[in-house]
Amino acid sequence: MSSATAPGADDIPAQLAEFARDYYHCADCSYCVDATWAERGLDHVCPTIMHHRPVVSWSGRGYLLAARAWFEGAAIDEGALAERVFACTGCGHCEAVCPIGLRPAQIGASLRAVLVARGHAPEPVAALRAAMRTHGNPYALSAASRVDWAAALAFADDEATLLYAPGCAAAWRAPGEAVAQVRVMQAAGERVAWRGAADRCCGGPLREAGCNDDAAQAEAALVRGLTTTRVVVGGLECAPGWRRAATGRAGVHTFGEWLREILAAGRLRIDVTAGLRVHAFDGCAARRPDEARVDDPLREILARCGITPVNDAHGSAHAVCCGAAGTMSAVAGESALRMAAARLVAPAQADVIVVGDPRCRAHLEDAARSAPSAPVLGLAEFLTTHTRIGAPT
Amino acid sequence: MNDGTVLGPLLRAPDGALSLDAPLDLLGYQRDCSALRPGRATQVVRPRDGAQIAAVLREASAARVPIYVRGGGTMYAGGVNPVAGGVVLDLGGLDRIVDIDADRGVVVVEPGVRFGTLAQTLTPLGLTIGIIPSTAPTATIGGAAAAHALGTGSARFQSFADEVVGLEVVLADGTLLRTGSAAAQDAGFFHRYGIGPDLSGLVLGGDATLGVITKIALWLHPLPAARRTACYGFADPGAASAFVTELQRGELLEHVWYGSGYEAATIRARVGAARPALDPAGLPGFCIGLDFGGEPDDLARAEARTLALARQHGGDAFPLFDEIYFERLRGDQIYWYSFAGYFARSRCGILMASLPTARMPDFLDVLAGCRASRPALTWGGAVVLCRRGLHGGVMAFYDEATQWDEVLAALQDCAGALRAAGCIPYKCGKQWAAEVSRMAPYHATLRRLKAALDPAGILSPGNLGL
Repeated sequence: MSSATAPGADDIPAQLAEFARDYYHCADCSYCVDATWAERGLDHVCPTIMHHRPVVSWSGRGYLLAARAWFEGAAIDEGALAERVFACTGCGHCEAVCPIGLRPAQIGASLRAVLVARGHAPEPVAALRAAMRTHGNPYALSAASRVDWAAALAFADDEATLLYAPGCAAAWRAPGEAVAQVRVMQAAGERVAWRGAADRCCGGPLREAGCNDDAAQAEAALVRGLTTTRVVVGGLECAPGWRRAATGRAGVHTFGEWLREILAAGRLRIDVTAGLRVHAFDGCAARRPDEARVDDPLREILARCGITPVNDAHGSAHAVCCGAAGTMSAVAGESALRMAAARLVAPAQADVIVVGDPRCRAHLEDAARSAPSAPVLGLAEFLTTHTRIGAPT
Repeated sequence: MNDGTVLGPLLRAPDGALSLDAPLDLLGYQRDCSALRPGRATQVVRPRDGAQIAAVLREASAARVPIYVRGGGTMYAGGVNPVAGGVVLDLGGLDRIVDIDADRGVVVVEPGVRFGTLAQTLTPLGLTIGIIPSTAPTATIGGAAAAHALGTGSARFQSFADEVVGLEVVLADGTLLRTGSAAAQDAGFFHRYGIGPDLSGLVLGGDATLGVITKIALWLHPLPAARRTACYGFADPGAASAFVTELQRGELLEHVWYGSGYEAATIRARVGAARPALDPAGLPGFCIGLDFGGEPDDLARAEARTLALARQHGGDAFPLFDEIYFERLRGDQIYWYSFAGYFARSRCGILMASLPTARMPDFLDVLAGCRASRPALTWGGAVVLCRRGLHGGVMAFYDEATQWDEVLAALQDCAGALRAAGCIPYKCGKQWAAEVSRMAPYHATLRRLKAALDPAGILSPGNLGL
């Protein structure tokens, strides 16, 4: 741990003042730490508490208490605080369960931003920022390799009906899903454009890590030269940044949102293999706080395809994060994999786990390498491998 | 709020137990849900079993280090606030359901098991425990045993302590004690009383002043086949209290799993929010809500009998309140946040008191007096029906940034007024320490027991005025 630092009374309180009401109205009920309530589908809350460190300071309540103490002028060990708040996945479950509408997840995000601005980002977060600055992706992979996933695909070079932005997770860690998303869109008659080597990260990983200035620059770069009025993003975490950047210029949809609309309009026919046991992976994107919230219509799409998942929807809104989100996987990879392993299901329970977000899909697959699990597939991969897709007859 | 500055010596945590002493980590262990001021722990130890607890207590006794025992931290009496510094013993790591014996009708759990987790396990078996408090998603069984609890089931079963078959307890010198039938070697838990007096009763409600609970055995009950709610309106609390007295005296609460009474202010606030066009002049002055549970035929008969009794006391069915408030409250199982979530989105200070049913009007007068004398605070209150008598809760919602001193003063005044009205402290902790100390022979006896069982005075100093 670093030595204690006395924050300047004139800046920290101002930076954390937005949450003053939260500090002084929290009832310490600990729902945001670890609550179980079967009637509500609630079976534990904070993945970090469950799988990383069973101590309050690593939870939403801990972030709120730390922020209050700092706001009130207490000396805070910023290195220790960073260790705790960067182990947050940012899944927002703590806010979703707060009975009185307080914002522990947003407090955690603010603390991360303050700590980054004060030079207290943990080394893996600093590395992520450096990777983004140098390579344009959070994995520190060669920028040139960003195009590899699409080698076998043909894209529209003019009169495109939409621009596809796969996102870093799909492009590098779940390329099969990126390819499948394009194929599904093309099967529906879309003329899909892609920026190739000019494609860019949306800045989502930076925003999750509290590197807000860098994230804002990445977002601003997204719309330079944008010519289409429709954008489909592959990763759910890409949508908020794209939406901020493209406001007034283009409509931004996730692949799932696009597919839901297409199915509702009858522009695609999907024939399902009978008897397939599908486990729908309920992610946390739809309950993330504030602007980070993104709809994940996986279950609606499966239902439209005539598929009833083996796991019912009770509790789907309270599914505990798989650990892919936020900086958890960067700062505590083993804990992040434990979170993912807890979300896998055995082959005896399902034939396939279908996932709406490529980042979750890649992370779950990492965990499945060392745990018995049904195969993990992205939604588009599933549709292209386990169903027949075609134009409506 | 303090910054968790470290005070005093650290204990050696036993192998396998988690030990915390970073100031940031200590912040989360300074207080419970009460309005009382937080304490400053030196260290948190999170053991995994009774042997580790015994090791901690032996060392703490030798070094005279205060030990505060924490479960979910959801009580309202400051029992876990480490006001004398020292070590917080976090029992969250003792979270195993040890045994479910349907034949004996007993479940044995470790103290860190949350009610929500136990319910999740028992429900598929068609079983439940008698008392489930309003804080069930996060409250622990050990906390409820140590600090008293009530909630769903109080109308049928009275208090949490009445549902305890026996305990395993570690005393301050590290001795492991089993009570009831389990005191006999290998007998296990099946009777509350064995040879001699009930030693479980020494520890239940003792706020960890005499020992640390490491296992709790509870009676199991079948889950009711059906549930339904009904509300009854009365002109005033006097008529309602006569009605409840009759229900209790006639043992007509057999099929009632939960019951609570709501004052006129609550009725008007709820109805006003849901039906703003409705003339409040026509609303009852008091309302009793009952949650029936049992076989469908039994429920229909119980409901008809209850309505007839209400009418004998000048009351009648009040379906509007059921529809807009009570049924939802029961369906959502948001008992606790029936107050926080439905009235005010803030922290609240609560005083809980036991009272004879006939004292209900006096209790409500105290609440009205609090409201009149401290209008800057938002006041709420309700009574919970027990098999005999009532539990009353007076709540003051406040903004801790600006009203902390005021709420503490208000609760102190309220405690005196409740005592004067014939209500007695419940969930003692530190909230009621001054009142308990007034019960001279009782308190002197407690002090003698404390001196015998915890001669170094390490266990929860300040709780119960000890």
